[in-house]
Formats: sequence, C-alpha cells, structure tokens
Amino acid sequence: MVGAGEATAGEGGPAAGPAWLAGLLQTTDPLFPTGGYAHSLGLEPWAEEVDLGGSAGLAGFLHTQVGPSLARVELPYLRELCRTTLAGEWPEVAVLEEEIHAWKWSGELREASLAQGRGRLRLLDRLWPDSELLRGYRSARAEGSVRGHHLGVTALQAGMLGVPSGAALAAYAYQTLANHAAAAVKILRISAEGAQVALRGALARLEEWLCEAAALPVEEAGWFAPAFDIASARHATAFARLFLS
Amino acid sequence: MTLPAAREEPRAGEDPPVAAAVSGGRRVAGGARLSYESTPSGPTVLRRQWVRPPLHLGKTYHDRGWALHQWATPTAGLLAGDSLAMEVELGRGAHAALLSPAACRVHRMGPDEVATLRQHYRVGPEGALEVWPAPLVLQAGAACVQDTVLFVDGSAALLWIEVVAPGRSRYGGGESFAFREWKSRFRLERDGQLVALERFRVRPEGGEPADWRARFPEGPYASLYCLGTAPAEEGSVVERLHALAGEDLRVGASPLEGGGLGVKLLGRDPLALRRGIAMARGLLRGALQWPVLSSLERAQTYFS
Repeated sequence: MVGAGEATAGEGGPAAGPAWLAGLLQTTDPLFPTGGYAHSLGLEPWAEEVDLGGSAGLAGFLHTQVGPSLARVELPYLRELCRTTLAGEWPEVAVLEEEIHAWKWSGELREASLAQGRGRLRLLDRLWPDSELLRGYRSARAEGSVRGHHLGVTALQAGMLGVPSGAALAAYAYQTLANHAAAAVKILRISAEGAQVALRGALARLEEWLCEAAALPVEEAGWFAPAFDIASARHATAFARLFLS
Repeated sequence: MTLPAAREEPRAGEDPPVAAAVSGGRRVAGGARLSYESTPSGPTVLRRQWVRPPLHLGKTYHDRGWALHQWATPTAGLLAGDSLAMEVELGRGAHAALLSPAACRVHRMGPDEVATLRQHYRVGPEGALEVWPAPLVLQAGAACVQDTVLFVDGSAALLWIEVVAPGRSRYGGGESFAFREWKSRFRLERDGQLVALERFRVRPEGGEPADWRARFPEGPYASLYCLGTAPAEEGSVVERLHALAGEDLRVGASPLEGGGLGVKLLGRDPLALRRGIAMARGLLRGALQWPVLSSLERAQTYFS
C-alpha cells in the first residue's frame, strides 16, 4: 500500500500539490515534536565564545555560519538523499548517511542529528504507517546499514509525502534557520520580534543558498568552521548549559 | 645492532606516487613512498623507500623500537603546479613517527594554478604511527589542494597532527588570510569504517572562514586525530584537553565513532598554538601509553 502522496514520485502534479503541501506544513511546524526545541545546534556555545549579542549578532551568525553550511554541505546531501531514498537505493542512502556521520565532527551535533532523526521517524511511523518507503528505510535501519540521521529521515519524509525535492530543501533550510532563531530567544539578548527580523533577513538569501547548493555535487560538499567546531565540542563539558547541543 | 638496509625505489614497472610527467619544466612532482616493517628482534625498519624532490627524507633513527624519520622540502616551498605525495605503509606491529621540523610554504601563483599535497597512509594490525609536521603556510596569493587518506587497522594506533598557518605572521606588517584558495579532503577509516571526513574549500576573499577570523584573525590552526586510546579514559582526556584553553588558545575535543578523539586548536599567534599542540600531544601520547621518545622530541625543533 502506498502512503498519501507517495505515488507522485516526489514531483507532485496539480492534484497532488495540496496533499504534499499539507503534509509538509505539518512536518515543518514547530508543533511537530521531533525534539528540536532541546537543541541550539551549536548556537549556545558559539554565543558564549564570541559574545554574540542581540539581533545583529544572530543575523551575522545566520548569514556567515548557518546559511553557508546549509548551502555547502547539508542541502547537497539532502538533495542526494531525496533522490536515492525515493528510488529505494538503500546502499547509496547508507553511504550518504555514513558520510554525514563522519563529517559531523562534534559528538554533540552528531547525536543531535540522530536524536532528531529518531523523533521524526517515530512520528512518521505513527502518522503514515502504510508507507512502503518507510518500511524500506526501517528495514535498512534494522539491518544497521542506515543510521537515521535527521537529513536521512527528512529525505524519507519528502519521499513519503510526495514533496518535490526543491520544496523539501527549502523547508529543511527554513526549519534549520528557524530552529536557531527560536533558540536565540532563550540565549541572546533578543526579543521574539528581533529574532524574526534576523530570520527574515536570512530568508531573503534562501534562494541564493538553494542555488548554490543545487550547483554543488555532493562529492564536493563540505564546510569548514574550526572555531565553531571547537565551541560545539566544548559545550559537552560546559559547567552550565540550557540546550543538549 | 645492524639494521637491514632500506632498498632504493622506484621499482621497475611501477609509477612513482605522483605522475612525474608534469608539464612545464619548472614544476616539480615528487614525494615519498615508504614501507615500514617490524622485525623479529623488535625494532621497526624502513623496508622500502622511494623519495623524489621537492621532498628530502633524512636517515632513519631508532628509539625504543620505533623508526623515526624527518622529512623536509629543501626548496623554497611549493610553487605553482608543484605536487607532493606521501605514501606510507606500516606492516603488522610496525611503529613509526614522521616529522618535519620546517614549515612548508605555499607561494603566490597564477589565478588558475594550484599546488597539490597528497598523503596516503595505511597502518596495519598492531601498528603505531605518529605524523607530526611543522605548519603548512598559505602565503598571499597561494592556492593549495590537499588530499589526505588514512586507513588504520582496528588494533593499530594513530596520532595525526596537521598545522596550517593562514599566512606569514612576521612578513611585512603581517600576512593573514591573503591566500587565494585552500581546498582539502581528509578521510580517516578504521577497519574499513569511515570515522572522520573533512572536505572543504576556503576562499578568504569572501571573508571565509568567518568563525576562525572572528576568533583569531591572524592565528594558526591545528587538527589532531588520535586512535587507540582506551574508551573508558576518553572522557577525562577530553576534559583535560579542554582545560588547556585560555584567552590565546581555543581547544575542542570530540569523541570519534567507535573510539578515539578528534581535537582542533586555534591560537592567537603561532607561539600560543605551538604550546597548545605540545600540551595536547603530550596528553594524547599519554592516553595512548606510548613511550617518550627523546630522539623524536629533540628532532622536532619547530615545537621545542
């Protein structure tokens, strides 16, 4: 049995549009409990490392760290995961997830990705239990060939719901930027409105980052941020912290 | 004790580590291919070697069963189109340390030109390898491509150190992040499983890498990988590594999948980083329960 929207093979015709859109909105909403609220994804230690300040500091962080890392590494991987997952090419999916596991240098960020993947997978299982793609992914995971990283499960979700790859990438990018903005309200000297201003500024560059990602082969995808990595690693032994990562 | 002599390479019918036929007579394509083996009597020996400029390999020293080698680039450094390749293999039980006491400078070059540095290491069962070079210095206008692959057996140990300076700190008024491009791929596998993958392209012209420059606008960077530590001790090693940090030095250590540690350091200046590397290296060697090799410590004059 095929789950809702799955038969559209990810590209979605006119009739399929509303179906995948509703599913995408539901799974992108902060109400969708994947545990993302527990992670600042490196913002908390970085804010402490460089005294990030308020709205301008958050905007700078989104423009120089989060956006470029999406464009240079995460989105090219998500694109390839969407393609291979939809085709049920589980060995290729496994190779991509192994690489993700290896380039997530900070143990906390690696664990955060797995935890969010697990949370999302659990919900997909509950809400769309009849999906063949989900069964395929679960089977590969049970064999230990795929790990269940958040990027991998996001690609699975896109395939299950029939979300076109471009929309899936844009939604993931939004979700990542918005997650940082939400965490910033608890970490920085910034109001909810100030966080929205910074988020809006970053979203104005979303098209640019998506285009950059589209032009980058996954074999060349990568990002270098040594000071950010150092701060993320130090978070694991920090005396006090609000977030798990 | 007389040690078996190393045999000269290249071997008939085999290509050198890099394609020697580089177009343009002024370009240099060289490197080294080294193969270490343990001997029944104990010490590790260099069983095969092939060396070609711009790399020079010193004679083998032995200390507590380890084979120690210094390498250097006696030329001015790497120029446009130059390529340098290291291929190193350690057989079962072999213990070797490779170091370079002098920085390797990458010079200014034309807009479409690069220098290439390729390294390929394989550490066999129960082997132990330390690689401890002086910095790679990316001078103004330089473009460098690095490709590093390490295959390490599950029973082997590794301490890998890499240091990169974003320019010549004492050149003129200071030179920092004036290189054109640094492209790197680093792949570390243990027992066939990928445990670390770094792949990036840095172009400082656009302000990259913003985080490094925000923290220390002129300071160098080091990356260390350590395999073979006892997993139960890694937590305390991480805490001790983090305790090395201060205003002039940032240190982050993170466990690798299946055991081992990755460590990154940034220094405000070369001196701060040098001190940090020396202390981090000491902690990691201690965690590996490796003996102190006084010959090795004396030979690495860059850090002493």
